[in-house]
Amino acid sequence: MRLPAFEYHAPTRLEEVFTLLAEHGPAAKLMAGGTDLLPGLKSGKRHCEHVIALKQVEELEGLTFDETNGLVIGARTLLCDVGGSEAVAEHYPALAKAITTLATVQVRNKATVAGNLCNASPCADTATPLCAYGARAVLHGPDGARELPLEEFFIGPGQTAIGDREVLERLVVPRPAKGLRSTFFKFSSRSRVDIAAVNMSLTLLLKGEGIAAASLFLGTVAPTPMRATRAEKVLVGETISPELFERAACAARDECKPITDFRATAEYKRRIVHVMTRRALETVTTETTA
Amino acid sequence: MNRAIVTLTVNGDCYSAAVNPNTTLAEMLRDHLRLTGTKQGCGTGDCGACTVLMDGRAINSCLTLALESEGAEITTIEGIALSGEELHPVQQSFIEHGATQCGFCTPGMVVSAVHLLDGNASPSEPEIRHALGGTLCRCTGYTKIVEAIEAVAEGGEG
Repeated sequence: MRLPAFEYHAPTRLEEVFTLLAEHGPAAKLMAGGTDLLPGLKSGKRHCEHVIALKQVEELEGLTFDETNGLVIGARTLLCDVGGSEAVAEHYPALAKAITTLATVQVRNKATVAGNLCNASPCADTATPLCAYGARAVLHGPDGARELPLEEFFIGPGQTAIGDREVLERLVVPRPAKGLRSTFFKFSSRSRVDIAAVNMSLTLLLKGEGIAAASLFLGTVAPTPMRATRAEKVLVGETISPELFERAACAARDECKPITDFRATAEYKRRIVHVMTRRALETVTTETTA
Repeated sequence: MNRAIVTLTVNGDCYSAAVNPNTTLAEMLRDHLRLTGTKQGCGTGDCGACTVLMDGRAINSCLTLALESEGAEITTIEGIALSGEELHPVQQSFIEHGATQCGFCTPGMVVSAVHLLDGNASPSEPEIRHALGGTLCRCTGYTKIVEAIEAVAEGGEG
């Protein structure tokens, strides 16, 4: 499979990216790792006349963590660097787990977290953990930067809130509350490498046996990664028990909106959401450490 | 489409090539530099036959533009051997364990295994299988491949 013809641009500053976007409009596509764009161009599912590579853009560099700002992931940051970060493993274990099960070693060595999000697949593995941790997306355009919650970044399959002349510059993930517990679950027909039939991320803050806060995001079972608000409502303020977990799992099952595709039928995905939600709750509440 | 010059290091040698922007690294290695050890299988990053090391990291050269590798250090299967006479221990172990069948996946398997052992000198069997998840053997000869890598791993039986 050969790539169709296009012109290649490798700007080093955001200003140049904005100029190129203004010049070429919809004929241009931004490329970070290229692991989604290039197969799309090869198969003819995507088209562009100009590829704007972002890997050398200075402003998009960086992966930092500190107690005040939390985690900042520049858009150039590779999945392998985020997945291999000690700070991510310690403070954002659900994100670390999601990355270890995402695609292959070769893809993780080239692809970026930002690219996984901008591709806006409902099954993007990094979307649910980042949403559950309350990540915010920083979009930068010629008129300046703006910030929005990551859960509002996704509009539909392949569609995001990024404007025509904007770039996702970085993700900012707040430092998790002390004692916050979190996990990521994924179901796919191959245990590794495969794209998820269902994935989800859960964060839970306990006060004794009571649930002070809960955040549950489901992937693949709606046009965008979806917040299971009804399941969260079932949980918050209650005391942990198998019955409570069952009620929350039923709520998540009932509120998700899966479609049948070649990975699983809608009915099967609902059943997975039910079982997975219960298991996620059991896992985070039996862990001894956060 | 304007051709552009890309300058990179491949297996320790510096190369410049004039390529079209839509030329992949795999195509450049095979068609321009005649380094045909790197195989192109699926072309979509699923099979791993085109795996090479870019600045020490295993990547799919079919999902990398030649122009993206400007200034990079690339190691292909041709550059894995320690010298003209001495194979890399992973290559030697593949031979000793009969870890090749048709051989098409072997370059990608060896490069993936070398990358794994560079970062983890004593991987467990599940770690080896996980690391090779992106490198498919259509002959399904995985058992011998995993055994060959285990033998090279520190503390391995080999």
